[in-house]
Amino acid sequence: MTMSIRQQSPISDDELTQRLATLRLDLDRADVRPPDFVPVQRRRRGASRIATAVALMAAAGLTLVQGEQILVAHRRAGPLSDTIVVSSPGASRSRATNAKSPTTLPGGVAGVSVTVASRVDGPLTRMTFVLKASNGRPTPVQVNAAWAPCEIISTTVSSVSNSALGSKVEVRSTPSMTANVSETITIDGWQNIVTLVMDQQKDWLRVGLPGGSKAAYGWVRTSDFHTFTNAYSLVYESGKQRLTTCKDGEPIRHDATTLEAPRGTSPGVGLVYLGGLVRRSPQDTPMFLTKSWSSSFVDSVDLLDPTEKGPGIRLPSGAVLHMSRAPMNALIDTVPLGTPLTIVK
Amino acid sequence: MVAGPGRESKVERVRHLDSEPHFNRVYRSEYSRLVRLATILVGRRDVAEELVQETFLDAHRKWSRLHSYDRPDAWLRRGVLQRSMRHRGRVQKESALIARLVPARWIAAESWATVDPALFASISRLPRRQAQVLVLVVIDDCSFAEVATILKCSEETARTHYRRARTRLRGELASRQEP
Repeated sequence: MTMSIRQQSPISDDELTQRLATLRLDLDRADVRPPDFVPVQRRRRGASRIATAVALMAAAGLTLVQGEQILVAHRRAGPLSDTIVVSSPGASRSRATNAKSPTTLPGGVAGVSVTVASRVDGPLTRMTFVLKASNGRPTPVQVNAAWAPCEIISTTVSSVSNSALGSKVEVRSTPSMTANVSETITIDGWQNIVTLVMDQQKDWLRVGLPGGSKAAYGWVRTSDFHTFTNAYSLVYESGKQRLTTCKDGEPIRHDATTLEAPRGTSPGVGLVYLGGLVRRSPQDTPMFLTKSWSSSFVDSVDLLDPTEKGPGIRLPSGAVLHMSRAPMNALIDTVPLGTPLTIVK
Repeated sequence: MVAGPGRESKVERVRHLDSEPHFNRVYRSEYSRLVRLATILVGRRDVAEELVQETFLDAHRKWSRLHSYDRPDAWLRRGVLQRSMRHRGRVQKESALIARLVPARWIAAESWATVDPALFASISRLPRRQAQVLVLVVIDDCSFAEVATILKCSEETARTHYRRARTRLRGELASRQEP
């Protein structure tokens, strides 16, 4: 038996020069005219990251609804976060990045392709996901993920409320009756607990917790709360001091707003929700329907008419959105408690 | 080096910039060249435009300091090169990661339209410094002294990178031609 080894001979230097020249001529022919400079970052490149994220979600066993639209509130001067927080039924919340620890993702691999279309709409980027399964058909999906730091706003948000006087709600660290009770919330009669549902497993809901001294989130029984779907979401741009109200993902109004953080704290950025509303009837004194929720960042935001600001209206730990009276009243009449508010720079 | 017929020389351009260090003039003067540079490195025109836009955004924020530089264009080139290489690395990592998780046939290939895909692909496989030096010399008509200034290295180092890049390209292209 004979073996032959074929030696690869490099191409000549002249040929390389010629090919480089051709490549350069091709580039020169391209009509690259500078557009008018606008000091605003374009978000086109973010789509590939989102596509990666969605592929990771699919690989983690998550399913996405075909054509599901997600709004991503982005920061003007920074890239979308590379960090993805995914959660899936039966698995604890996992943190993954494009490059770090992909093996920690739960679940198997799904044969999917991802198409992401994005459209910038004010402070929001609309992402449309279309996933196709290995048989080429659209895969039914359920979006169950968020990008840290919570910059995704689903078009529909589930909130829960419990207003049963005197009732006690046990909060557990895991969705199981045998799990330790991490906190007990008592409904004292004048407050109405409303919070965001972060996750759901059978008869359990993962919700935000009041107080902030312990864990920020915990599991409660679904039967202890009334669940409702909220079509509204809010985005506050701290740089522009502007509040955008969205319904079903569509921006419906913009209002000049300022956000006042509690003394000694910073509102930062992230996902918060309306923990309480302050409304004043024309004849009566202000009625407080609020309870502050706090954690490492502001967990709740109270709406407050700036004319009401003064002694006795200070809130112990919640931030306050200041708006003029007319838009504030309109907002209070529109959005319910539990409406998510994303704070971006 | 590939000659650029009718092209304004680098020195003339820099002098022009020095005489009128206004941001918009620099933007108009350098934009297309920077896009060409980035296109070679990242392989996509739209991404290249965005990287250049990001660089100009950064420059815009720092312009009060940058306009006093002797060579603001060198700062811009360095920024574009760094961003391009970061993007290239990220794409490679993403591709490797997705390839591990998702069957390759379901990953849409990025468009790398060019007259010479083999050459494009070979450049994309060059080591970082070699790729940067090559595009600066071949695409942007930079002298080795200018390359040394932009990349903050010695002129001899730039020559070495350029020589190695060409040698490597010749080998790569030969291997791609083999059946």
